[in-house]
Amino acid sequence: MTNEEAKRILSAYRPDREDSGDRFFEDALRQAERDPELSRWFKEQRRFDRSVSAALDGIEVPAEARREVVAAARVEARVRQFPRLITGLAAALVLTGGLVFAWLGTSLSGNVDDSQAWLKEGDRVPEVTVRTRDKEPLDLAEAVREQTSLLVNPDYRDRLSAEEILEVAEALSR
Amino acid sequence: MADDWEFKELVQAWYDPLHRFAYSLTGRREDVVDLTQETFLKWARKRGTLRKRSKTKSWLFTVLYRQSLDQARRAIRFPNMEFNEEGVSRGEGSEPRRRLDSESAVQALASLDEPFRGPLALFYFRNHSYREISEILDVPMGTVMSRIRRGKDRLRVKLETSRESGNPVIPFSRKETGS
Repeated sequence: MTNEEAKRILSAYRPDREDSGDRFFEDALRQAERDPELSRWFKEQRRFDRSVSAALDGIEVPAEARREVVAAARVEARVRQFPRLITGLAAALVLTGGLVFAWLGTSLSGNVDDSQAWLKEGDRVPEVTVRTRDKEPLDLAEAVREQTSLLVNPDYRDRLSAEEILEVAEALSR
Repeated sequence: MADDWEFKELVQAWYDPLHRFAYSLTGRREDVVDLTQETFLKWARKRGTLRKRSKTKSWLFTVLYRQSLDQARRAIRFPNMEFNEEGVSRGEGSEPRRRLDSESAVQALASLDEPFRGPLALFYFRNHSYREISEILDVPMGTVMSRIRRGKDRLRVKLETSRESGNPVIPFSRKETGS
């Protein structure tokens, strides 16, 4: 290794870091111990490095700067949280609405199921006929099935006349 | 609250080194606080996505270095026409001599070309291994070392020029510095 090569390597040497145990520097360090000219150069190099390091370590840092960073981070966190809060509230509202809707749907379909289960017990439905609005004779069981489902369906509920509902009710009470 | 505590710990540990690094890169006190603050705020925003907490230190220095490069590019395109307070504040303070030394070292370092500034600053602050410096600057380790060597030569010239102009800063002998 020439002195020039050793200088190139030793320029990057920092004895106060793990460089001191790094094999990369070993040969150059050994050569600096042997060669007086290289040794002089290396000492001067170290003095220069220490001076620059000390000068840079002496850079003054404003005392309040750290507090300002922490305060700025808090403000930013709050600003970031606000849209999240709004989104969260909107999501909660949609979820609640969905749950209410689902519960209502289950409740109504449960009524229909109960009615249909009751109607399957054919012996409870008398073999009678009733006349509907268009005066056509109908099978009572069929009429009750149809009209019960119409009764629980809000789309059709208003289409039944009071007379028709009464006819069904009377037939059932007989 | 745990997040807040972690953030405070991080600021406590790394604010000063980052601040000094930023100053040595820019040489402008008015930019340093913003650069350092923005680095920490970026960490706060992205900490959930950072995979390795052990790399936090390198991450902070990398972000600050890249921000300083972006800022330098912007400064070239849009030169700052604001009043520079540097000249007014220089020499003030309780330790004028020491302040002058640091100030001159920073100004000499900051006046170097960009490829030498980062490697030299990280070399002199001694917070990082060469592997970390290589990661922060995103250049191979061999390049880092060669830039340090060439950068030192340039820094010597700058400081000598400063000394010859009647402002002795770093004690070193010109005769012994030849490589």
